[in-house]
Amino acid sequence: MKKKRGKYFGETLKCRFKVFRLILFFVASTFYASQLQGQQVTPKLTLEFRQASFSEVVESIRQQIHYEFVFNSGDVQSLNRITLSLKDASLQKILDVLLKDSNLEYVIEQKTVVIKKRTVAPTEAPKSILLKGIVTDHKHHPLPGVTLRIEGTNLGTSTDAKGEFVLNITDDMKSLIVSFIGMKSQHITLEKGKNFYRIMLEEDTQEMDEVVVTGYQVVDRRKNTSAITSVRAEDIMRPGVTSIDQMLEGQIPDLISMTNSGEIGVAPKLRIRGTSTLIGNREPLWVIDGIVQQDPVNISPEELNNPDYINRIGNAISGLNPQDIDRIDVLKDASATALYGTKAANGVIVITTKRGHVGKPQVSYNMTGTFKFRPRYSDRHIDVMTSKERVQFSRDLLNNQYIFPGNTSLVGYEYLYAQLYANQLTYDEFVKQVSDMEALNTDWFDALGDDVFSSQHTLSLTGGSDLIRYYASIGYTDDNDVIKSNRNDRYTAKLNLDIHFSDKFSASLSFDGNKSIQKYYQSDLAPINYAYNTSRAIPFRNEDGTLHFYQKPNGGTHYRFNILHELNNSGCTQNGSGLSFQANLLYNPLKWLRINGIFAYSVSNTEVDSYWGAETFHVAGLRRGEFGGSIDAENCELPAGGELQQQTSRNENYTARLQIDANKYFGTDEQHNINASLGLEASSSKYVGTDITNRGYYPDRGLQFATFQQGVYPKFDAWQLANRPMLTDNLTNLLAAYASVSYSYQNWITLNANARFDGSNRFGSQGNEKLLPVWSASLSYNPLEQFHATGFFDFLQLKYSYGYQGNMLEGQSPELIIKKLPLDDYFHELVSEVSVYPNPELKWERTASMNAGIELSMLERRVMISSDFYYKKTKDAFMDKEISGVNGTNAHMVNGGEILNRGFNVSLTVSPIRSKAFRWSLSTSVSKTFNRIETKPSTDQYKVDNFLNGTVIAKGRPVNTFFSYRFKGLSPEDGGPLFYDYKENPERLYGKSQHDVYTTVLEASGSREPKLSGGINNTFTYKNFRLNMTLAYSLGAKTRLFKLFDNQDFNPERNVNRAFLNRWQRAGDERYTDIPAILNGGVNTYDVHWSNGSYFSGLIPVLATNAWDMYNYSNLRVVSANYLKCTTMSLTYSFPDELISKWKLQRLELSVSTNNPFIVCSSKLKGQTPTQGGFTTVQLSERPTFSFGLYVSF
Amino acid sequence: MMLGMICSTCFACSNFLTEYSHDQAYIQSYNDLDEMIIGSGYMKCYGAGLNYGYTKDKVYYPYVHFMADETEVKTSGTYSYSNDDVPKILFGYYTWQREVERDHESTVQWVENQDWNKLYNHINICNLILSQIDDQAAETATDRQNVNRIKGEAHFLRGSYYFILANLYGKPYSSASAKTDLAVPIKLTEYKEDKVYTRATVEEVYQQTLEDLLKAEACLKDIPRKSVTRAGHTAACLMLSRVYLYMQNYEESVKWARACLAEQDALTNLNGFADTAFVTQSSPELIFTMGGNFIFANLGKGPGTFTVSEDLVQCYSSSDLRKTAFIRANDNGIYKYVKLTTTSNVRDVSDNFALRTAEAYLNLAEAGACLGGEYMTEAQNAYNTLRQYRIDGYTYESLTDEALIKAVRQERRRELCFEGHRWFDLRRYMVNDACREEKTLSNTFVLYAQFPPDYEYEIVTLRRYTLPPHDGAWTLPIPAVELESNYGMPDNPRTERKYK
Repeated sequence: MKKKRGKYFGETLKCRFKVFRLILFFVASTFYASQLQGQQVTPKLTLEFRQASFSEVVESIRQQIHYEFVFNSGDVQSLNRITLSLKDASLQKILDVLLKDSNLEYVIEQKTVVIKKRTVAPTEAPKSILLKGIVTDHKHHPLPGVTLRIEGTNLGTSTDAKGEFVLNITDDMKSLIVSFIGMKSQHITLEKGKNFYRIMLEEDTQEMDEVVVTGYQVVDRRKNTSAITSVRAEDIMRPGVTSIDQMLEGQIPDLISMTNSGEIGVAPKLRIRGTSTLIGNREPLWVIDGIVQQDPVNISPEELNNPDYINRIGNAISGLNPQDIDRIDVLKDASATALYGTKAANGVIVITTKRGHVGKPQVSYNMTGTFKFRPRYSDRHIDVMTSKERVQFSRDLLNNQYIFPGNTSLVGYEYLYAQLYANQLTYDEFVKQVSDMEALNTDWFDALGDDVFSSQHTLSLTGGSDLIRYYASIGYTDDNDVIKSNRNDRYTAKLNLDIHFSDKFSASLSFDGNKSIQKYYQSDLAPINYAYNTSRAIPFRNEDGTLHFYQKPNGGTHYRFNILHELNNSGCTQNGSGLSFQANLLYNPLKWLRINGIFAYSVSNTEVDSYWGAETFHVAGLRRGEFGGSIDAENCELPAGGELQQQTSRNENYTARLQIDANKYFGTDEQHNINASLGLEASSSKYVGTDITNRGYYPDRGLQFATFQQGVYPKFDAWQLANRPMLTDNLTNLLAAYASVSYSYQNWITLNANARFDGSNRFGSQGNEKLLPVWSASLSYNPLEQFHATGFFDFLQLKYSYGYQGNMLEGQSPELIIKKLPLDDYFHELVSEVSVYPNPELKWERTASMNAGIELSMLERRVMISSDFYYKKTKDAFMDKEISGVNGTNAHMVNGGEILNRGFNVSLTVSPIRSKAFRWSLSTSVSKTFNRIETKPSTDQYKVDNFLNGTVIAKGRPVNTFFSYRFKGLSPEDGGPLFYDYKENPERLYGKSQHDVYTTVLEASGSREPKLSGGINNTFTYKNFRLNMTLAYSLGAKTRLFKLFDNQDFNPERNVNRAFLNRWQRAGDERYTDIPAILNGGVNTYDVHWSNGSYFSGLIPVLATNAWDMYNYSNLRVVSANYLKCTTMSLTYSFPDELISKWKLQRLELSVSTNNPFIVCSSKLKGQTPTQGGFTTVQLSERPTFSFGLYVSF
Repeated sequence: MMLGMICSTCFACSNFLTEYSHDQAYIQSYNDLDEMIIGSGYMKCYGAGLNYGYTKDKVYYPYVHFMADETEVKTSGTYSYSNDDVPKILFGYYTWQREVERDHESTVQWVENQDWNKLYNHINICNLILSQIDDQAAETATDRQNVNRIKGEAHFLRGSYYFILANLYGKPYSSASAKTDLAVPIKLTEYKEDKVYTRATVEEVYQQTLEDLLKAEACLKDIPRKSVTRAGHTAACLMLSRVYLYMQNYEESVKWARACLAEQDALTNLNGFADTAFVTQSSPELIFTMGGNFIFANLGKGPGTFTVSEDLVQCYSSSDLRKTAFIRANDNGIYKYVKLTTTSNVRDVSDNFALRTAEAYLNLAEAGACLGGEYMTEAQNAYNTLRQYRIDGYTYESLTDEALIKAVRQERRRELCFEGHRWFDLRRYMVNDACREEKTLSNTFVLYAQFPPDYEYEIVTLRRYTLPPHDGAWTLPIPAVELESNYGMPDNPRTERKYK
């Protein structure tokens, strides 16, 4: 301060000031107190001046009252030409008048008047300062366009493309507010004398909602009327996970993610807001940077909707490196999805990829290494017998004269016993081998699985100038599975360019490429299922370390089998590659008008080669002879070599879009705003596929195929004749026009309407009602903006939307469509067959949906709550209806269903602690989905199997409801299972419809999809440490325990559930156990259900096949699939800036994390995790992983 | 400008939205219907020679061959494994079980409604063709002839399929009860109907058959036959003669047999016949064939499988040339079947639906014999003409009345064996008013299994079943799925069959 003042006085006054300052200091310190106590009384004066100088006036006063005056002549220079006229005025009055409008003040002590510059209030005019600085994000990327504003003024600026700013302020200004979308606002206290500031903004997920991205538009959050959840990819990143869809679990309200296999490369099933169609695709639509993505392979909706389908092929985003993703917006209601038309009926997930920042080139490298652990018998999940228990179980079977099923594997205790019986073994040998067997305890999980290490690497480069900005990255993922031979390698490359030619014209270009090689087992082998279900009394390797083979039945004979040998000599290799290009041109002819042209093209190839080697058991069965042995030529279907199936699929698609956006403010205060978009879009997608199977394959002899003489192997010849390559060709062209109009009044109310019309080239699409409108209307209201209220609430918004959507199915037409086939060599003519039977009565499926939501934040965003309620009703839902074969086909599509989906979600984000060193933020959400089918199928098309496996459509029940037999208890006579199945009074079922009979006899067990789901996300930041823990939970789903019975066959090859240790053995046991006894075949009451009897034919439908099946499908075996699991826990350490700047680094982070470390679920599940169901083969559960990560940028 | 841009884009895209498919099309002319009738109207014909384990879904009602007395299961000799488990697959059918689709262990082996669905599928293709054929442009005389031909073929096929359905799922036509006995639902509409169907009576289905065949006959008249794989006028006449014979309307049967023979009466002379297969597509006596030939691959394999029955072998006298032309003993003394082609994968004459002049002679003989009087000589002539071509050193036989009827029926058994006639014939003889013949059938099921330590095959199960006359199992049960989707539809009652 001293220095500054000195400068201000200038050189000439320097010496004089020094002297004067001493006096002044003395005077000031002694007199201040008295001045505060009140003014002293001074004599009265009369003065009369006209254009006088200050000195003249002072001289006149001194003459009248003899007071001394002390002042700096420089200070009073401005007080010239004084004109005043005062009579009998006090000295104070005169001085007040004199010094009015100056920066001087006076002090009177005794008879001395000190005149000096004002000290309390600034005594000088505010001085202008040139404030400079740079704003960056926490990774030191410069941030262009950041708003800077001096607090309490309208003075402000924004950063340029380099993130730098210059602001002319005055030195009396105290603080600067720095704000930017997606970043936490900062208050910078300006220090005197400092005029260069380096400001680092921290990202703020909550503030990301400043805008929402719909793919077609970017909407200001205050004007958003739709249900959209936005997240930053970085916040949901799970280390060691290779695809973004797997990271969404528990993170997005109203989105359910279901994973039915823990294998690598398996895409989860995603459901947004329930299920509103019964036949069509239920998966959401993926959009990357505004372009709708196509699946690499056209998988039928029936397959995708099957709850047991394992999607290894992958979905539209399998080739996208999660590290390249910037943000994700999930569009949920009709208003948000209307612009996408009918294909968005299940919601849209919009991905925005990273783009370059202006600044010098910045290189980042991100690496994650992951250990993944295989299943173990010691896991509490696995409840199968040890070899000792299994041998004892076999002994029990033999002791009870159990009749083994025909064609069993020659293995286990039973086989030793047969050898003993046939005198091939002496008793001593037998005893020894049995005791060896009892101690064997083969670890199938070890034999077929490994603890593995995988890694992911991403190298990216970003930077740019005012003219051009770039983001480029390459990624490599090496993903190994705990199942031996499963492996996935993926290479990705991405380049995003943004070119700013002028304020009127700019362009964005992006290029993407990916390549993946995925290896997995032939699905027949199902190694995890094998490990679960194979007896541990079977050796895996011989004593000398070679593989142990046993004789397994195949078509009435036996061939040698070893699961690892089988896996090693077979397999699937999936080669995928994709390339895409996108150009986006922007032209702003007027400030409020923007014309946007987009062209995007992409091509992807998927090739799956599945082979069975000549040495496999599978091929031995086809060959009808062991490898290298003699062949049964008459029955042989594969004389030599193996079998190779090659499936390829190529997708080529392009989208061209022209969109005009107008955003105009008008009115006296520009209080009205109209924001309208009008667009035209053409998109085309072509799938070309082949499927060829060839036999006689020699992969190790130059990938060649053997040829065979015709007539020697008649069955092979027949196979060869029937085996034709399959080619598919599918072109879908869509032309759409869409419009969106919003009107806002001063940001406090916004009305919006969207509509879209589609036309397609789909064959047979000339339906009964050609025009299919999709429209929505919505509004939002911000009361805070209206009343300019500030204080407790920061943000409060109410939203409402209503929309209407129609849907038509592919492959349905009001007219007969034929399929042209090639020349038939029997008729020697060209032939055709019926492709689509006319279905003139089919109408559009219609869904009307409503969304009401509230969003609020308070206490400086410490608490944020958002909640939505939705109600969706689908009328005329398509239903596959099985009709009488008299119609020539059993399949028929009708508008039979009415489905109701309603639900709500609440999400809460709180930051209880927000100190500089320690921060804790907690976000949690809960979504409830209520789904119900409102109609009863009009005729009885559902069989008992549909009821049992959950594919029935039952009135008043959710989609995917499955039914079970009602277990009564065990028979006290023989320990067989008994059920409440109207056996005693079947007449009560007479005359009822089939649907009613089944719903009476069976009990609804629940749905396989959860009713309530959500997640809890905790982040603790302490100095440079960050600890994150994410939990996901799912409530209300039910599942079945693994099947206990395979009819009542107990093959020596199979392991048995330990539950059988507890089985019924003698009368009275039924009071303690519900595990049935082992009964021999021929007990008709259990082997054939009574309803199969001819007596009931026509009176009641068949209720069940046998009691063993009923037991597997009884309510006893239904358990809750509720779970709470920890999806991720991670600890990250960022090296402090001071340290890394020495190393010329911008950022350095190390992290350790774990995925799926624990799951809390029902104890009744014993042998399985909630995601594993007893409906089909056993799948791998989600495996715990342990990862470490490194992030470095410079 | 904007408007202009949109308009020009739309104009440019007029092609963009043209319906596209590489293989789909709408019906544009009668040619499309012609392609459709051969593609889906006629029975499919697959390469011969595979057993049913492989071709379950490709064959048409194969069980008719095994339910009657033409085959038996051998239980002697050394069994060696074969995966031709035909007796197991067709267990429920050939041992006349209540649930025909299940084997002895109650495991489902056969899709019970397969033939029901296939036949109704063909019927509906005919319905679709018949509903559209009259709308097709036919300008020239050739066009009009083609339209008539397609229409005639469609009527022929629909009538024939209803006839087969009535005989599989309905009781044999009996003048006393045809008006009350239930057969199968009749559907003539071209669109799918989501409704509960009811079974029409045997009488109604036969009338539908007649109506269709008569229309076919009218449409096809004077149109040259395209080939033996497409139905022509002669085929319509022969089918009419067969249907009337089943209905015991002998005058009409005679009339249409005559009409048939007037157009084609050639017979293959077995004296000096040296070809391997007796009936081929180039045989002079073949009128029409549709469907494949699978039976030879399923006969004469050895113990545990089907062979030609001893009963049938005994029918042929030593001078009967058919004994070697139709069947042949192999090295083990087991009779194989050689009547149709025995070359694998060749698509030739059907073992299910083939029309031959021989049948016209037999229809004429049987109907004439039943009528008696003025028709007797014609019947005798027809009978003797046929036999002349079949028997070495044949001498004319002048049988009359019941003796002739029975002789003709025996001859029918010998001549038309393994062409899908026997089961239907036995059914109608049982309710015949002129000469009732009843037969009790019996069949054996045998199961071999390997036993340790030497894993030799031994018989583990041997069951004998019998089917007395007028048993419910002379009619197939209605497929369970049909009973379910047409709730309330009565089934054909069958009892649990006991074995010895």
